[in-house]
Amino acid sequence: MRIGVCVKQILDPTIVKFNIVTGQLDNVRYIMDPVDEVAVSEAIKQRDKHGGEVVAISLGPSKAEEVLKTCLKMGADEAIHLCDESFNTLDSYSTSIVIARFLSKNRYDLILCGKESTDEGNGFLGAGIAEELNLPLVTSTTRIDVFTDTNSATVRRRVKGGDREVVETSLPAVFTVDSVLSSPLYPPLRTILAGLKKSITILDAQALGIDLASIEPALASLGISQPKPRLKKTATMDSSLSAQERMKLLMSGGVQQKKSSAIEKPPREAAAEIIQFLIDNRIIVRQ
Amino acid sequence: MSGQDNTAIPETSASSAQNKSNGNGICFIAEHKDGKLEDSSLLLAAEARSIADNLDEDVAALIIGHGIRDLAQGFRPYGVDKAFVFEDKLLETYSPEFYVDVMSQLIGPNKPSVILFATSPLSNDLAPRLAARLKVGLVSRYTQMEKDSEGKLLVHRHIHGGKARVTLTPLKKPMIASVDPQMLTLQKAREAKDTQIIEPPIRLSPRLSTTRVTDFIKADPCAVCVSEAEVVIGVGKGLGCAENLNAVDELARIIGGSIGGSRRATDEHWIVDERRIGLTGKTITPTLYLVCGISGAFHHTLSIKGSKLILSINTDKNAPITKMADLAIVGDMHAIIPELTRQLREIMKPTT
Repeated sequence: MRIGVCVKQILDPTIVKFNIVTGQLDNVRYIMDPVDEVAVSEAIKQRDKHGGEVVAISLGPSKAEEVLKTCLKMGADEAIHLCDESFNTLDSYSTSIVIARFLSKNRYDLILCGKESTDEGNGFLGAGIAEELNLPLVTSTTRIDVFTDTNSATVRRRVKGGDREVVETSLPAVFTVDSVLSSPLYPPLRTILAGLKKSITILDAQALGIDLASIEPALASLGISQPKPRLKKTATMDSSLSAQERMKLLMSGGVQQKKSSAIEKPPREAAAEIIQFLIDNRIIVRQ
Repeated sequence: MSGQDNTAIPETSASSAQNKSNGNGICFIAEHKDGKLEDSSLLLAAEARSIADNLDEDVAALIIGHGIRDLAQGFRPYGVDKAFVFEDKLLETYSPEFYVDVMSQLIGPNKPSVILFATSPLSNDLAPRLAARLKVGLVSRYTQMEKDSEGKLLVHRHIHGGKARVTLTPLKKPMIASVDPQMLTLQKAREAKDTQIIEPPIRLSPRLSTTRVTDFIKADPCAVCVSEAEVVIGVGKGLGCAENLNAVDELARIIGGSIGGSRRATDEHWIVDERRIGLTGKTITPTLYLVCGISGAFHHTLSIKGSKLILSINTDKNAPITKMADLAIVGDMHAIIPELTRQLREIMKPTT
């Protein structure tokens, strides 16, 4: 079984900071996207069970080879680095097309990627690859059982409130993985040392046979800025109110504010208050 | 949540129905359940209207499923101009392949400027597929959509875990975008509109769906991991001792909640380590987080920001958690919880 797994290098979101003065990001540390780590772990577990090889693929600047090195140390058999100056301006749509073009050159029984990247969180890659290669797609998988004899798989996917949907599909297929799918892999020293000896294959646009002019990006980025909260919308003023009332309404933002006053009541009334709150918010239904 | 009751304001500007759109409209996907529109769909209708006013375009709803023809009228107060409706027995249950097929057929010839989704498990699956099918861009969880001085559409969204904001602009039409319904306010349109229902004659090709849903595993809401639960009950130092957990457990069974706790609760072995909520434990995103006896230290609150509603019970009225809560009760959890359980039993069990 040949398993392709897409990985991404991201900035560690726990420490990165936006610098207002320079307009750049500070405290930059590159890491492998945690959800991709789950995907690689699962790919390796599947390979160990069914045989075959794991191919880790990453599209990114030359620095991104670090994550591919990590994949090799985790036990991936091959690492492909799609690296080209012209790839720097790709959006998520064109990125998925480039990766799909690479994948189409070989047969893959299983293609795994994170359900959404931790930095951008668009969740487009899996769908983009599946559509371009015309393969079945299952998103947010939490368990994957592959049956090599029938060339099919039974997977569970995450729905609301911990529920799971069980989906059957033929292979090859694209699965996006949920972070609960697999526990992180702690490879033995032997695997790590073997991984250090493996090399990364670097492919540029020419080697891939891709004419980037034929792939139009769908979105253009106009730069980054400081995060801002969404502006509160002011409700239309009721013209029958007095000027003072309208002023009050304006200053409160016009919309219901979070009730921040604490309620101090004896248990019986406090409980009744809670129940009213639960009913108002439709957590429970009075029968 | 109720929309502001707005009395009609005489409109002097020329935003009447006469001068129509310069683009091809803002389209949004209406979600429904058991023959009713989801609240998020109404919020989304209001959002679509306000974007459309900004861009001077029309608003169209897209409703697909089975037995949904009458739903379109629910959008009347929100100024939705038209609704594309498609009904088919095959669409009764969610099947991504069919849904994408129908949507791309409905949307394809109309080429709206924007297609909006409200984030939900369904749209997280569907929006990327639709974007891929139409070969257009996807902006998930945008925070703001506006027009710049040159009339270019700008979309803002957070990246790097909310540490920075990126501004994007679409190069192709339509642009698909999703927005968290929690951020939206339900506001009625200036003028209600009779939503025109359009039922395009499209054909659903029942070509073999590539995936098949074979089973559905319902989770026990009390046993489910706190990170996935819809209702979470958090216990902390205020619990006092392990025996007191019985009362909380009873409450959890009644409202279908999963019990989690602060670091203190796991260190004291009142609850298992897997149920720790906070910096060293799980991050939760429930509909309701009922916090009992947790003061709300930074290490804990960092992981509960995604909760839609926070209800706290704490003896200290100055505890930080009371400021974060939608409803803060100052009192003894050991007295309130059994009372709450008792009262809930009364109203939730039909007297048969």
